[in-house]
Amino acid sequence: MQRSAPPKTAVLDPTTISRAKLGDIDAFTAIVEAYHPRCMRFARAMLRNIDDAEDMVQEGFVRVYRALPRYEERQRFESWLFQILGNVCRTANTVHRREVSRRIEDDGALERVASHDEPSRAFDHEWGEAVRKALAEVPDYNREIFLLHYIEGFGYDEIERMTGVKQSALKMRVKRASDLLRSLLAKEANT
Amino acid sequence: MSSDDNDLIVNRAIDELRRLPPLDRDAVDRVARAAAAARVSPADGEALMERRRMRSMRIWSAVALASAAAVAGFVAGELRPSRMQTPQTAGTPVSGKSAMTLRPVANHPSEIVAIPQPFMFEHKSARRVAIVGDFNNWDPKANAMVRDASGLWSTILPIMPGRHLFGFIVDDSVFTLDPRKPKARDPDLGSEGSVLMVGRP
Amino acid sequence: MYCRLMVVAFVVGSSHAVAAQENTLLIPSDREASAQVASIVASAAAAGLPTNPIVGKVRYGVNITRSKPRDLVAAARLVAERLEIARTSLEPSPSHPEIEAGASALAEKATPDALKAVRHASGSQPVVEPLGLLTQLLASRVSVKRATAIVTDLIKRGATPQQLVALGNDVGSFGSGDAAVAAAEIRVRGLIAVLAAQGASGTATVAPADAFTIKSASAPPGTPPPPRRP
Repeated sequence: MQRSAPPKTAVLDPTTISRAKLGDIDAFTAIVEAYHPRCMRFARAMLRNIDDAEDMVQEGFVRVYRALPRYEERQRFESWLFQILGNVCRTANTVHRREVSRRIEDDGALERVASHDEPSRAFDHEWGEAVRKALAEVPDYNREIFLLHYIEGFGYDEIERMTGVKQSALKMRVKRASDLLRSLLAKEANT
Repeated sequence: MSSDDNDLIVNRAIDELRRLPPLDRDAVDRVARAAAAARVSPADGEALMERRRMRSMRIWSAVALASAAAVAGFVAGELRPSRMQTPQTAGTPVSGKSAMTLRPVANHPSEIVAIPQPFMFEHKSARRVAIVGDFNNWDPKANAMVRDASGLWSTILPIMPGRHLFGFIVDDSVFTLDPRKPKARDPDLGSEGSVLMVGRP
Repeated sequence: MYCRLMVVAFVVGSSHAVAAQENTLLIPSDREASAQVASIVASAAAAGLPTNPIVGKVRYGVNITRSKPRDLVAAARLVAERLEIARTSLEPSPSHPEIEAGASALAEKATPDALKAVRHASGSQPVVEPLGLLTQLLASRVSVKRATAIVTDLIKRGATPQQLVALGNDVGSFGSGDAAVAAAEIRVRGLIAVLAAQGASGTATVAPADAFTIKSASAPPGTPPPPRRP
């Protein structure tokens, strides 16, 4: 089954990353501009609490900026970026699960306020809403690999380097995510 | 449902999920400001050395020029002592982005005063124990502690309200934390200290 | 003229000697690094910023961590920059202790907006203890957004400086990481309950017992939350 490749990120000047490594904030800002929409897309799909997406993306970029001196250009920059962002989102999901289990009524009010305008509502329609609801049902560890492979366009070899998980296991996770999405969306697709 | 239909469903879902949100320039600015505020700490690595070496060369060039100007002015009899400036003059930026300018700073001494805080540390065999922290510029000579017969070292120091890091220096050689206090890592230099929070009554 | 030249030579020479003495006091093993730090300190002083945090950081590196001189110079610059950002974020006219507290929070990845939110919530009251709590929460790996919300909410509920400090000491004892964050949340809820009880019994001034919601830093108290970001 052949799927189309995802659209590419804006191309950066090759010296931009080198300058950012030296602490050039303008160069770093150019990197953020180039990758911010993709990172927001990934974070919104990954996070249990969509309200945290911008904060987590910001946290990810700040970690990238702090770690830039250690970045070695053997690894593609965007796979390194998404490796860091994935770590941030995974931690946020863990914290969110624990917060949810202890939440009191006041925090429930916070959740309701936050959901008043979903970030994606600008382009949502019924199908989009159904897709996001179905994706939220996919376990975190399967969802992450599904997003990295099919949405962000990383190959299995690259994801193996990013996550430390063997390619065979990665493919199984993607398959399970696809199967679950298919079963949840089949009814919606036929209506 | 055929397998092609099944693939179509997942493909449609992927197409939906691939839709990119528009670029939020305000969010990008927030990220850049947060990164600039966090900045790379020395504990992270050494890649900023070249840039900072260039910056220090500019500073020393300014030192030389300012010194020459000061001497020339004095000899000419036109320079007033109150106008002599250090090489790093007000308004010369430390970093390329955040220039420091003279602005009034209030000091409200009547509102925020130091609060006496007791410190205790058990060490029976130590010959000398000093407390060091951000409240005494980590100077081992500043505040020696007093030992009682049981080997308990103690002192009371006036500490400004806020959060502080500290530790003890044992026999002028070993830095150790307070086992009764929480600990935290210094965000710039990476080592741990004991945490003390002090509040106004 | 000759006398003036001699005086100049003496002044320049002795100022170099004094500067050299001062430099070696800062980083004994490296004259050039000491001079760089001295410049940073002088610049901060000229800008009206507190200089103790800069000197303290360098002394910490010299006496405790034995860091490399170039790392100490970099750290001194970082501290100076944070002090400036803190001063701007905590306007109008923050005190030196407040600027130092703000810089400490920035070092733990607080944002300028977080500092502004704490200042706004505190009104004319000093923000040293709230910023200390903010720093402690961040050091325990609570998110910036959540930590800011906790601190501003406690201020609005009338938490005293001592209560904020006690909470900070408790939070610090939990360490950092997921478990610490969860434990901190429980402790925060306990303090909120205490404040609510104090308000009911009239023993302390508390803000109206509204739902625990995050409010915009720029909105006056009592206004509804702003629309979510697009």
